[in-house]
Amino acid sequence: MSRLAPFLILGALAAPAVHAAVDPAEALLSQARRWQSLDRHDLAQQALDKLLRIAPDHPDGLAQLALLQLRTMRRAEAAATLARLKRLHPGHQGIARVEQQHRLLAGADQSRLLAARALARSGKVDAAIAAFDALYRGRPPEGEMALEYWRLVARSERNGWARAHAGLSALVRDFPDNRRYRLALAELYLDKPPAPAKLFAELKTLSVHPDSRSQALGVWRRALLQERLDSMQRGAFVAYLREVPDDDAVKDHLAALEGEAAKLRALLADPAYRARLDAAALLDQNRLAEAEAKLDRARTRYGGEPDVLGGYGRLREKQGRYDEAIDLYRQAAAKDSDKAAWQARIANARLARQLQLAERAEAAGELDKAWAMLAEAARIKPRSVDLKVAEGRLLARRGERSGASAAYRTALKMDPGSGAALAGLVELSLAAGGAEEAERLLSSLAPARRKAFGRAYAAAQARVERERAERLLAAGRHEEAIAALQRAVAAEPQDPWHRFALANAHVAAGEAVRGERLLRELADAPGADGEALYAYALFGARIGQDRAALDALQRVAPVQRSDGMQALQRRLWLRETLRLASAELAAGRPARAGQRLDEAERQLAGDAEAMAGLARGWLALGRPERALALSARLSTSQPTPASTLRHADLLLDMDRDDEVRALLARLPAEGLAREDAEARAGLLAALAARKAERLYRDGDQDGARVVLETALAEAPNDARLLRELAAIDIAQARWPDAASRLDAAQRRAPGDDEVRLLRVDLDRLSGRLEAARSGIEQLLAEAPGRSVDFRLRVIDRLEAMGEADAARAALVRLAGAAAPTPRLWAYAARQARRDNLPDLALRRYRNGLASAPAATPFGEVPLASRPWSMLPGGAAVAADAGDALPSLGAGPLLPVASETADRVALHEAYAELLDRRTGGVQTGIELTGRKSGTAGQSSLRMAQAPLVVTIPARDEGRVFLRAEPVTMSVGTLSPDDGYSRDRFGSILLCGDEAARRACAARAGEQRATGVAFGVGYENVRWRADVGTTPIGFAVEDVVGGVRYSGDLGQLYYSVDASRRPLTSSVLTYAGTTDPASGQTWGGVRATGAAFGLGYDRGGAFGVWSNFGYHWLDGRNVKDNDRLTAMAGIYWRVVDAPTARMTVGLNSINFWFRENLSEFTLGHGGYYSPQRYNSLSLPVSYAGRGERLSYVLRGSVSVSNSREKDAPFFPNDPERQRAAGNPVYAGSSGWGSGASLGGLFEYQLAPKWVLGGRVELDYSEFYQPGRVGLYLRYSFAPPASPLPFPPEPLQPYSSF
Amino acid sequence: MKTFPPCCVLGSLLAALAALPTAAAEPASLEEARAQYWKTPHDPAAINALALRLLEAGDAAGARLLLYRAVRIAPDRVDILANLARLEAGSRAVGAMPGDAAGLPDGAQPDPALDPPPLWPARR
Repeated sequence: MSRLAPFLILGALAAPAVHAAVDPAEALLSQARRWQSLDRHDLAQQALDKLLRIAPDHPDGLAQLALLQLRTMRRAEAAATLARLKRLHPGHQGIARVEQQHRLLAGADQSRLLAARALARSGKVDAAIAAFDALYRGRPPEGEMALEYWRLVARSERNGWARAHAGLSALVRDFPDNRRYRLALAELYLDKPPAPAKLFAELKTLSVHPDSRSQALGVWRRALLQERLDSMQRGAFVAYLREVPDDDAVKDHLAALEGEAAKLRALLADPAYRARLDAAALLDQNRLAEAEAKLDRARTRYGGEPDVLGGYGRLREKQGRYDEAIDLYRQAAAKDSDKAAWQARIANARLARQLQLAERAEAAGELDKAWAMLAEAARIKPRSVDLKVAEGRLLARRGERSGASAAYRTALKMDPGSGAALAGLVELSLAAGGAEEAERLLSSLAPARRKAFGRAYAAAQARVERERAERLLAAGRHEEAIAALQRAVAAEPQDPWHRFALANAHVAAGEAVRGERLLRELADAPGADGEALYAYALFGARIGQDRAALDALQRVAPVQRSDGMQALQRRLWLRETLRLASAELAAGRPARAGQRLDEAERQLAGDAEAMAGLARGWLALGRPERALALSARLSTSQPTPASTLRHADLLLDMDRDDEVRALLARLPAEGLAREDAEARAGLLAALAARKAERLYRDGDQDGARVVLETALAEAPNDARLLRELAAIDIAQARWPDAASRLDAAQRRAPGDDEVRLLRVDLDRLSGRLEAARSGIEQLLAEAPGRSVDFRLRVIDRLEAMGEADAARAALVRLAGAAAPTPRLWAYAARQARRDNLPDLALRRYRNGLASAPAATPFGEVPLASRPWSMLPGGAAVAADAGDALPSLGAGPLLPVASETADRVALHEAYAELLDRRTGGVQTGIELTGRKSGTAGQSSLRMAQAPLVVTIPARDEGRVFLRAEPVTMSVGTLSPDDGYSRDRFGSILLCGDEAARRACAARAGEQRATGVAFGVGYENVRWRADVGTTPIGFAVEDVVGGVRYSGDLGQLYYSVDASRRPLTSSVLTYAGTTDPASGQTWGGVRATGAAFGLGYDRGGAFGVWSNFGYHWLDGRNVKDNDRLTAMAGIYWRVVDAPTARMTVGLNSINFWFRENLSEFTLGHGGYYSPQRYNSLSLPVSYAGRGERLSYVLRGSVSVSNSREKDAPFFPNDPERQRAAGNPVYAGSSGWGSGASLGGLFEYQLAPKWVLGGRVELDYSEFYQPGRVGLYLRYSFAPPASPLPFPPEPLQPYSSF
Repeated sequence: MKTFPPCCVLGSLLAALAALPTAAAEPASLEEARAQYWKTPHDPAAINALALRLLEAGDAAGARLLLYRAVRIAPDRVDILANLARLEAGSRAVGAMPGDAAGLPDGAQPDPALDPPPLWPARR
């Protein structure tokens, strides 16, 4: 119960009573007790008499009567009453009390009572209390003996005051009218000043009653004289002096206090004095920066005061500046009378200095020196807890675990609440047996010990959990780590750094929002601590919430702002300013964007590092001239090597390699500071690496190697050059060379992640998969300076090893752990593409391109699908081009901010996917003709008009539906041309000349019309289709095929299985009817497989080849088969973004089993030499502009072929015999040819493209030509430039 | 939606052929913009820059096609979208960045409500 409780009870009793039915016996008994406690024995006797009249055997009444008789020395009557009580109520509790009173007053305990009182008088308080307790057997009797007992108890140092307070309060509660009890309780408060206000109210009440007035006024007076300025209750003084106006001592005390108060008021009006007071409090709270500011203020007026000097001393001591602290304490001691206190401080500071020196020696690894320092410290203050803790730490460092443990335990004996000693023991346990052992240690402590440690115990628990979490995180056990960190936060909920660790773990698990909430709890609290705000800001900066981080930092009181906070604020401020400028520009407000950067330039003036960042900001805003001007100004106004190098770095980013080279040439390496020399070497290496990269890309690996080796000779310590060389070694599978280069690079830059990544590549590609996996695991872990993009490249390696699941898991972790970068979004999108979720992939690309990225790529963010709506007053219009745009007036078109390389890559991937997801329609007409053939047989005119609809389909492919009207004619067989006539169908067997003429006349024009249909699917790897040859042809067939393309190391290949029509004549493609026999024959199809293999790495040359075997059949046509082998090589003699020229050498060879090139029944009408070899020299030139893409081709060739003799009716021996066994004579020989051709595509409108092709071949007996035009309509404007070279619409028959 | 005028296909084709990268008379800025465009044909800023140079050279149709493509691959670039809208509204003028001769096209001061908190002074 509180100290005020009895007064509250009294107050309650003073309130109007609520009357209830009262037992008259109880009321009389209560009266008797009250009178007896007030020593009004007569009135007590009257009340008891009345009671016993109405209830003669009342047990409490009889007991109270016996007690009264004993107090009034009527011992015989008391004995009789007791006997009666025992007889009537043998077990009644009053019997013991009467007997106790009897023993004390007249019995055996009288002498023991005297002995106890003697002990009390001699000051042996606790012994006396023990004696009284033995005597009273637990409960003192009421009345004076109770007061005597509780007053004695109040003197005990063993919580005596509180026990006495409780006992007296109980008495006051039981006997509220007993003013002696109330006075005793009031007097008790004098032992615990300051007096509470209620005490004075109680004393005033007691002073009203004559029997207690004098004593009450005495207690009141003593209480007033104890008053101090800080607790002064003026009203109590006034009330007392009203009662005792002449008490000069009290008046003087009041005057003194009021004088002090006036003085204090005057002092408090002085800011320097207030600062002096505040400084002490701030020092107690370890708010050192604020304390120093206050002390500086106080020093202006109180600089020589011992407390100000001492305050500075404490400050320096807390700052670890012990020498200054000692000097300040000495100055304070010289001005203060209490020298001893300052001497103690000086001794402590000396000890701390010595411990600090020991710690430094320990940190430097000089353990013996540290030990000697501790020995010196022991001479200053041998019994110091800090010393023992330092010994323990040093012993632990020396591996002397038992000694360390003993030292910590000694410290704990000296100070059972030493948190440092407990922390030391915990560290020992952690080192020996991990978190489990440390946990055992903590749980072995008894609750009382834990309580003694206070917050240190919670801190030790948190430390154990943090250690546990760290190990779990390293093992990838994120959920358990999060649970451990949650326990750490629960142990020390106000520690922002435990929360920071937990927040980071949440981020790693993809729950950045939870992490942010955790830190915000502390940061949002009113008056949040600077550290809590700093932790929040750091986390915010990490997850890309720069603005929230800045706002949090802004709430840190200026005096609390540390160097780290200040650096973070300036960094974030610049970042945020650049972001805002970029947003302004993106919103079409370039002037505002420029103004922001101008203002930043003004504010950041003098901060070279920040200005370099700002120069890059100008560059990012598409203002390279401003970037250059700023950077150049910096390097000329502060002409230091560092500023020149920064300028060179900017130039390097702008691809101005020559200027970089010139700048570096003017800055010789000699005499540069180490960092500058390293930066210079780095720039030179970057230049060399860039040049080498260009050469490497052009296929000149040896040239690249020479450039790098030359650069390395000049900068043999440059790890980057070694890396680049190692990369070439790896690409060329020179494993030992790569390994030794990487060893050298690692020696020069031990922490270089790029080197480690190359090592992973080396291990991976040379078959050391376990080593590669281990390297990947290490590089995936978060580490200072290891960027998200770097870790994405590590994930690349996992994918390259085919470990898609591990790559996916790593990506999810990474996405949650860091502010997403465009590259991270690109990865996330790529993953969605692999999962066949193209819409999600598109959204992820968009997220990556949004100016304010979402928290994580795996927390999907709905994006406005209609950017139009973002325009000022934006009307809702569809995103597809060609639709109406909101009017923005007639302002000029403006330049826009440039994009980073990462974002451009993202745009490219987005565009590529968009195009794959866009369907369209193509239609056109293609005319094929050949004049050189024989009318009615091989002279060909064919028109094909394909109509193709493409629809986006799964796996980034497209379904295509084709309908292709075809009409073809080879002319009319002339009945008069006996040579040709007799070589068609079986006209030869019609009979005589007239009959043969009649047969030929029946043949009429050889033409065919039909519509081919097809449906298929294609993506980058697969193409599969099924369809028909034109329906309406004499011979109709189902055709189709499957093709797969892939990579084989550095090579590419394709496998194709198909059944396709041959189209060289009406007979071959459509089939026709023999006018003599009425038989239909022709419609030749090739069924078989082909395999292609090639090499083209985008370098100076490429190689291609194709090998196939096909079985050829047709209705009533003799079966045939064909073997093909083709190969070629080409060189890119021009390879620019808008122009490409290649020259090459091709060899085409094929072999047919049968010669079926004629038009008699059983022949197929297609060129089928038994051997054909050709060598051609193709040349092609492709060019493009923004709207046009074209290619021109030409070639010359020589060939050699052989055709064997062929019977007229190769699959009909009867007819062959009947005809007299005629044969077409075979032939062989050389030939030459030439071809010319061209393709173009022209963009007419955002969705419309016109294309065309022309192809002309010329050889001695064969001059086909082909010309076509087509239109392509896309359902949305293509996102990529026109195909280069063009991709013409192919008739289905050309598949 | 605009459609191409079929009667002018041939004329456009010839005009495009005439504009093939042989044009020695092209302004240097157009050549530069074109070179940058073909280096990074998916960079919306490069596309926009070439569109502006084409517009200056009188090729509004070419500029239009390019801006449509830029908007397609960078739907969040409201600045490019605004350029397309201006072109479609009939504008044929090309502005400059602030500080250049053309002055400040969007003149107003930056919105102070967007400003970050004040920069803390550098420590000595």
